[in-house]
Amino acid sequence: MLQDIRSNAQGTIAKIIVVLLVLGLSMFGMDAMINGFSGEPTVATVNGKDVTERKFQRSVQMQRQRQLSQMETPDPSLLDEDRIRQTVMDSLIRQALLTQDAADQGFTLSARDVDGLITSMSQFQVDGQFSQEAFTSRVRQMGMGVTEFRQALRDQYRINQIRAGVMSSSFVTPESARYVLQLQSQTRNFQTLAIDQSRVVDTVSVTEDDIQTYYDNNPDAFKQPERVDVAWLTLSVEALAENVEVSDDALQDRYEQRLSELEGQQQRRAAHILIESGENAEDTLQEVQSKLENGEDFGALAREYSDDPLSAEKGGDLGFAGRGVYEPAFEDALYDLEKGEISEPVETRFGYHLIRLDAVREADKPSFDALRPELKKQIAREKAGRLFSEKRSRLADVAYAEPNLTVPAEELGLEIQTRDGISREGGDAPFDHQGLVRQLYSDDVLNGDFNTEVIEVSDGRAVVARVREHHPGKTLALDAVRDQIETTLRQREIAEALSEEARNVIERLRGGEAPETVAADLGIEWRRHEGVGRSASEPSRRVVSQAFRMPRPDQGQTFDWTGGQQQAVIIGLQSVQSGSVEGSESSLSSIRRFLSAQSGQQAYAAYVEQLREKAEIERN
Amino acid sequence: MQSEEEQIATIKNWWKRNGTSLLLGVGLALALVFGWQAWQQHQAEQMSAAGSQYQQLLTAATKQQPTDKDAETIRYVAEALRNDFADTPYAVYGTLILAGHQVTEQGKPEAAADSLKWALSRAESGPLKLLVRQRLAQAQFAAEQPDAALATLNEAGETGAFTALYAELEGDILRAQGNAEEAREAYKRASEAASGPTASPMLQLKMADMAIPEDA
Repeated sequence: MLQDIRSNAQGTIAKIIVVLLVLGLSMFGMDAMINGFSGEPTVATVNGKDVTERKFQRSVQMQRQRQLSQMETPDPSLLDEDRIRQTVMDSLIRQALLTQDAADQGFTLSARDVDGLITSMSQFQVDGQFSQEAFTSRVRQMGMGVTEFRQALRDQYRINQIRAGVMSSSFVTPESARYVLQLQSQTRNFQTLAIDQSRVVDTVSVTEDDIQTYYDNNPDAFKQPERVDVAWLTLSVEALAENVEVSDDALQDRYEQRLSELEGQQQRRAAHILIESGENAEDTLQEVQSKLENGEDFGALAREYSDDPLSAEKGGDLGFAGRGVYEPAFEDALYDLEKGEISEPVETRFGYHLIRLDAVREADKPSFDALRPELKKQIAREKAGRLFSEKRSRLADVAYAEPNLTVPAEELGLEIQTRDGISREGGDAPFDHQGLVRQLYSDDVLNGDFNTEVIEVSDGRAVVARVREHHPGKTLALDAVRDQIETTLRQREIAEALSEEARNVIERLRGGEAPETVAADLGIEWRRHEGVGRSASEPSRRVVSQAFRMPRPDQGQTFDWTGGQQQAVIIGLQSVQSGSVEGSESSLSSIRRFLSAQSGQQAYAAYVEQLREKAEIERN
Repeated sequence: MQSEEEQIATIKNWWKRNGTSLLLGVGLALALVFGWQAWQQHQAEQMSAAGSQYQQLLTAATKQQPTDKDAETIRYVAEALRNDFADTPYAVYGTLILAGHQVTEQGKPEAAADSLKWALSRAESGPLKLLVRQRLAQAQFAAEQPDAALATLNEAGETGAFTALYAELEGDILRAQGNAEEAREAYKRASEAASGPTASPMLQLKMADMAIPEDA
């Protein structure tokens, strides 16, 4: 063997091999050749390309985070893990398909293009400039490496180029738009003949045999769902707060703190004269200042000189404002002034200001007694909040260790509450919390004599529960459901009798008997409905939509009927009026936009579906 | 065993016989590699240029309220893509967008049909080709060439996930031709094929108008 290679090494074959190797390396790169054999675990294969376990897990993690962040009170026990995994799997497969498709078609994006995209994205910019640090840290937050992010960006961009191309190029012909608009604004004239259930009600009868048969044939309909009787403890910040002692000292401290906060809310009314910075600013400023010293009116000078036109009109008045409204230099000057005093020139980015303090408005200072209940509640809740976390972990420990709720209840001074008949669907609070109900029906709690975990069912309210008794689902006895079955069967027979009657009438009408004669035989009258629109709700939605499904009459009328339990309605369609399209240019163009957007979406959906149908997808 | 001199002599001999061809081989390989890379580089630059033009086109085409300048951009860039980058996928997609613009904004369905014929000849098989073909039939229908439009649809062969779209358009054309019976058949086929995201609410409206029962 070795001998063979040595002798061949001098031959042409070896040279060809070397050339091929070099070519391969340069075309596909080292990475591809190594990765091809890396053997990372995969969850699916799309057209021979792997979706790796690592990517799948990370996407699942991200999806969980996203769902949690959308909840009011994030609670992992509420997540439907199977659903999440399914969704993520589907979306990764779709992603892989679309990525391959973009690459197959030759959509490319050079490294430089990717750089350009990244540097132009606002989330990677600080003060309008791309920042490498911001970029790296944001990418890390997404749980990706930089290379991986660039690849993902590139893939997404190319997919979007195709999607946008398919969707934005869609159009509808003017003719189609006109047709749809005509259909939508079409009206119809028809008459109706209502056969009431009272006509047939005496003819139906439900026998004991019928009931028995129905009961035997539909066992699922009479199953009573599985239920549990439960006991639970509630630990809440609210309840804890009621028993928290609040000392007078603490109240007094809090009151004073509140007062000092209110002080900061003092408002001051200022007037100013603004001189914009510029060549003559200093001169103008001195002129105004000397006029002020000579006792000229501030308001008049503001009207004459101020470069702030809005306030100038009002003699410089700026109205009341609290702290944090004006620029710091302006604010400092304003708060140093006595009432009526005028400041030295203050420079801000607008120019120079001469400021006068006109009035000071203090925030209302409530009395201690008036604030007392509110402050007490506030302090108690804060203390209870700290107490709550301590007690909750204590409760978790005890409830985990004990096969009952009595001990935890005594230990934490809580009251055991009970309720019967909680189904898997849950019930009133706290069992409207899906996570709690799911735990109740978990094997450990249902059969294992364990308590549930301590679950925070809402903010500041934690519950631990256990099952007192488990009632498996059972089938109700015939006696318990006889009335219910009888009603069902009666209604069904009435509906049948009505439709029988209606079909007879239709047959006579289609056979050419005069509508009036038929109506007279039944002792009822036709009612006319004219110019009824497609979305009308009179005489009823059901009748209208049936009338719009009927074929147009060539001559005379076409007949059909629609029925329910109360009555069957015979419809005689007399004429169809095409909606007018004239003079409705704007609705025509808006319907065109709508239809074209819709057909774009439809086309892209078909595009993706076609890729999926043609792909080889394996789920491991 | 050979002595050292003998070995050296053997090597020298071997080199004499094979040296030139070996050097030639290596040289050739290197030339191939660099040539290949240069070609790839050129190709990438072309694609990158075409891609950024296409992006411009998209931006103009997706504006809520396109101006005359946007219309000019669409025409100009689509033309440029078709002339300078005919081998890139961007040319086909660019032409699709141009065709939509020609029908909707310019009211020139004939021109759109010409554009789409070119795109159809360029499109790779697969969903893109099916899409282009459906659009071509639509443009032909708008240009009052219903027979050509039907022929275009029928030439597609297997329509896969596009079946509902094809059948609905076929129904529209047949109905406009006054062929109610076949139009009904076509709408029925569309309704059978349509499900989930590809279902069209307008199809139901049309079917009701043609008095086709919903469960058909």
